[in-house]
Amino acid sequence: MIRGYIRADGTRRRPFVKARLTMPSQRIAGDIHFLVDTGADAMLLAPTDALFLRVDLGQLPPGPPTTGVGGMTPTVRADATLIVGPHAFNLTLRILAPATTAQRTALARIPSLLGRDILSEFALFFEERTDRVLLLTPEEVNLLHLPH
Amino acid sequence: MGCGTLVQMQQIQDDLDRFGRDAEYFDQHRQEFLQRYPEQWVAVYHQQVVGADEDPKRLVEQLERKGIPPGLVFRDYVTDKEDLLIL
Repeated sequence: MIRGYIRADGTRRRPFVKARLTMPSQRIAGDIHFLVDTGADAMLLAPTDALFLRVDLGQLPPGPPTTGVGGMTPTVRADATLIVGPHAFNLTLRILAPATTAQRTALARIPSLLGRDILSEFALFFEERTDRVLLLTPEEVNLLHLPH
Repeated sequence: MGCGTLVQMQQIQDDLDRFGRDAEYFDQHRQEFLQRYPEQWVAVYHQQVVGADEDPKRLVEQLERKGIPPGLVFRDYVTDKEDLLIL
């Protein structure tokens, strides 16, 4: 089981999971706290996290643009490994690469997202009342005998 | 899993535990940070503030000058302005 946490920012309470991200092609390793986002198709690295990890966006090939409520934003992609608890996942990481000053300003404070490419490996238990954010393995979920 | 890999995984888990404690420290001191570092990015490492700046690029440079790995610090923006995050 992976235990996440809820962070309070004013009146907003959001679920996060911490993880190690490595990108061998750029010899990069760093720790990220990811917002758990079941609405995101895939994991996404935010521009500010990319900056702190010293990712050279100019060296990476373009990825598919992301579409959100704020519009479309270009991405770049890189092979990466995500380590969450005892689990390691090899994946193609998408990194937001805002193209304009307006996009850079708008996206400066958004968090990196843990999307369904990773969440699909687990069952997500989220209970704000008790501050619980849990990612359960299939074996752990089977023990709960939940209805189908 | 080889012995070297096990040692490496243990080091990563130790780093992530420390990262989690730094996040808790940040959250516990948010009100104090609002007074001291309003509208700035703040970096916490080993439960200490190791840098703050309005510009995250300058904060990264600040950390590198101090020999602190920017990718391992807990960092967040300090503001009392509430935003509705819908992605």
